[in-house]
Amino acid sequence: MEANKGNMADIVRQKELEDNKLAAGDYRYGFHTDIEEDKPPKGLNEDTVRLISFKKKEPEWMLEWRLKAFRYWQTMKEPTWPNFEYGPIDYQDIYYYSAPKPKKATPASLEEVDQELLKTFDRLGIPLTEQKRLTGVAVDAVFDSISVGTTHQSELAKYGVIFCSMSEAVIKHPDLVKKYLGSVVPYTDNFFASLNAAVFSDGSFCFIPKGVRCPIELSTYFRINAENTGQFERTLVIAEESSYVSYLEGCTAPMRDTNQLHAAVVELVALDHAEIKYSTVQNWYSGDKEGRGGIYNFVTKRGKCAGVNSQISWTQVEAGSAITWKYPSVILQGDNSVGKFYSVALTNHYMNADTGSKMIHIGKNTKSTIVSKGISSDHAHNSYRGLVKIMPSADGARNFSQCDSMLVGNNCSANTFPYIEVRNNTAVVEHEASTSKINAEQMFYLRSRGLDLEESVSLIINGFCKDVFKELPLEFSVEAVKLLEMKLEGSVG
Amino acid sequence: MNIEGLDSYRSNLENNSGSWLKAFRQRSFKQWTEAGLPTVKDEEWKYTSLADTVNHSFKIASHHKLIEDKQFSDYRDKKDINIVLVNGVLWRGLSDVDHLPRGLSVFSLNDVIVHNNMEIQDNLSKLTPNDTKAFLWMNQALFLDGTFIQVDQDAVIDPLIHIIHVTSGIGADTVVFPRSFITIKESAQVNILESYVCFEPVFYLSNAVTDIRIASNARVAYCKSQSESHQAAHIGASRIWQDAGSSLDSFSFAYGGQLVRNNFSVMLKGEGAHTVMNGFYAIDGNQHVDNHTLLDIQQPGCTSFQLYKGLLSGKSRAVFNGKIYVHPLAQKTDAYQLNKHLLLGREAHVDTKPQLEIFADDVKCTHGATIGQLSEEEIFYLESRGINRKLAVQLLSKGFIDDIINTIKNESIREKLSRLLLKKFPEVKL
Repeated sequence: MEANKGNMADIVRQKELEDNKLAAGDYRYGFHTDIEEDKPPKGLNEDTVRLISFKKKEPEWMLEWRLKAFRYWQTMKEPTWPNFEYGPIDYQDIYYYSAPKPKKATPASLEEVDQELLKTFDRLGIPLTEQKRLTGVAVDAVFDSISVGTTHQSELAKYGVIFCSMSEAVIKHPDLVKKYLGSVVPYTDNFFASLNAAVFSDGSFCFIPKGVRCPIELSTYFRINAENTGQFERTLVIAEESSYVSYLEGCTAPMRDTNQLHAAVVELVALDHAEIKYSTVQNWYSGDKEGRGGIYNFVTKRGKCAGVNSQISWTQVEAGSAITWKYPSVILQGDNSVGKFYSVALTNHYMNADTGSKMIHIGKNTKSTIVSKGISSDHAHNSYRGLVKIMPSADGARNFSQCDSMLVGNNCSANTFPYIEVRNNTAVVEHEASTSKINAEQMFYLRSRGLDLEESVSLIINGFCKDVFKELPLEFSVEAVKLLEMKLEGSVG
Repeated sequence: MNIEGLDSYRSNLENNSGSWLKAFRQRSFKQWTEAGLPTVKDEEWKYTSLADTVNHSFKIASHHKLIEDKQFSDYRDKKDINIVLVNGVLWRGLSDVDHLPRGLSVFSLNDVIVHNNMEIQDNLSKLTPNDTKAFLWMNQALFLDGTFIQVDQDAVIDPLIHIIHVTSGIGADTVVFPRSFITIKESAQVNILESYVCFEPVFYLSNAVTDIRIASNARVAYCKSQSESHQAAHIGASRIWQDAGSSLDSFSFAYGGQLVRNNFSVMLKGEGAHTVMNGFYAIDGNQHVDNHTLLDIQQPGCTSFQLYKGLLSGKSRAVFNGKIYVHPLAQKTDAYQLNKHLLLGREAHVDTKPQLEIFADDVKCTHGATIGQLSEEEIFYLESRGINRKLAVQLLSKGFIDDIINTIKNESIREKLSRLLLKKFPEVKL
């Protein structure tokens, strides 16, 4: 009888999922998990900050840091310069903490984590249970405000790699956290970074010791589930001398008519000869055809090439969110360090993407590459905004930037705002950009070979984005191509 | 910004203006004082600080006599139709206004406004998205005179029209307001050079505005050559409206001035208009040159080509902001923009921002920007052939310059600019 009930629930859930699929057309992650949640009341004040810190059993210094950030945030104004408009955000009308209630006080291992949660991640294609962990990727799964589990921890520990949730790191590795947290993105950095510093709930912490090449790819999967919550995760990746790590990030949220705020901070630190590769496929819910709902994605991502010959590369596929406001940056401090940025931003319906990269050259012979591809369809607005800054100390610095935009339909727009500031005459900086529509001749060629309209468009767009997709790890690359196809369905013709 | 004797100057000016102009000046003055001058906090003035420039107690040029100078004769070429304005006032004695070719008329701007010329009234009140409103309103409130040039329908004016704005006989801290209005009627053809010159080494502020209306199918070459005194500040706006099928070949040349800001805007408001918008700046010492260009494409089928080059020596600073705005209606637009800098000075600075804003899908828009220095290999090649390093650098710089100067089709303009550049590269024959 008991088993039957379980089956029934599964079938109902399956049905819900399919309904959602039909409704969304292109968003198959739009379901909501019914789970009992621990949710302190809405609103933001010092007590909220204290409560979050208390729930996470944080040490005193962490709370102090949060409070400093909160007090600073109160003196700041929300920025108005981005090239889009959004309804005023009522910061008092948001739940700042929402965590699924654990059945047991502290689950000792993944096996004790709530089955509901594991099923949710299963449905998202992120297997957390032991027997399914064959993909060679270690996953930290974040559900609303907390991390529900991290896989492969013991294997990684053999190499000295620390991969855990931020809350765990604050307690278990306070020295590392103290040393690096806020060292790249200080809590005074910008409005949303300050807010994040005050109320960040969870995120991933990753430390690669000297000389270690991380044997598997590390990844974090972010899921927003509860209504009216904000997700404020904080990720910190530290690569010590001569180490290497490849890090992946994915995100989804249920479909809702109201907007939800997501303000994350990601900090990367690469010491001498270290390399960090950070890839993101961002697929938050982007709102429906009329532009209702969706996530406000206001993210601060920055890496610091602190050591000589270090390298940081950002690869991103931005396919979701009602508004994306994100400029992954690299501070090239060490001599001969390298910064790279590859991006595909796809917008449809009423989405707004204002994204790009900042490369700050400080060290000698530093190099940076920016490749950005924007695709805009329906009523969407897609902007590239970037900064290349060559400081007086950066002798022999080199930058190449390319940003191309493609317009599909005549109600959308594409803008480029590249800022180039050169303070050293030995620098060589190149920037090129283009905006065009799908080439009619290429279309004709493909159609004449029997491909239908959508196949042709998809093939051309894939070619357009090839430079970026080839930088993604294989599984992600396949996912990104599929995502693009799904998003463009129905917007052509 | 403080201007001595502003009230009496204004009341004097307004009493001598007709009713329309009086109201226009009063309105502009109010707008200017309410708006205030831009600071580095304004996005459009991010890289150019006016703090040192406007922090003077300014005087308004009170007399408008030309102190004759040998250098001036270099400018005034007998082949050309010269129109000379001293401190913003048309100087008939030196201008060739009496024997003009058929189809060309030249007047003092005041005379024309007095006769209630609707076209001028309409145009003087226009704003473009690229205007620094405070300076435009200041000019409108305080300009003393200017020149009005009209080219009639189908007229083909062969000789070059050379408008020379001379700032002369002034003390330090003077402010002048040159203003020109040029209207070119249907299917006319004309070449125009507008020069801003001063031979006196003093600090002054020149707030210049030029408006050009190009009617359909007209063909116009326009060049702005700015060689103000090296101590001076020049804040200029060139605003050009193009009708259907017209063609504009424009060039903006910046050579003098301590602090220079050029707002160069072209509004394409007719189908199939074509625009070339080139520019060059050769600066050294502590010079600061800021070029803000706008190409506002409102109608379908327009084409444009833009190349701006900068040669920076010493501690000079260049700012370039090139905006191309394509309206939703403007399908089949083909726009190209390139900005190149050659940094010779160890402490030279460049801030460049090529900007595309596109709201139509069937378009082809590209832009590029490069910043670099001379290739050591090329210098070595020349050195290995017995040319000393200094000359090798100048030769290669000349190559960089020639590329852009040679895009100027009118020989008379090209000669004049080359003569100016010769002073920078004395050892190279240009």
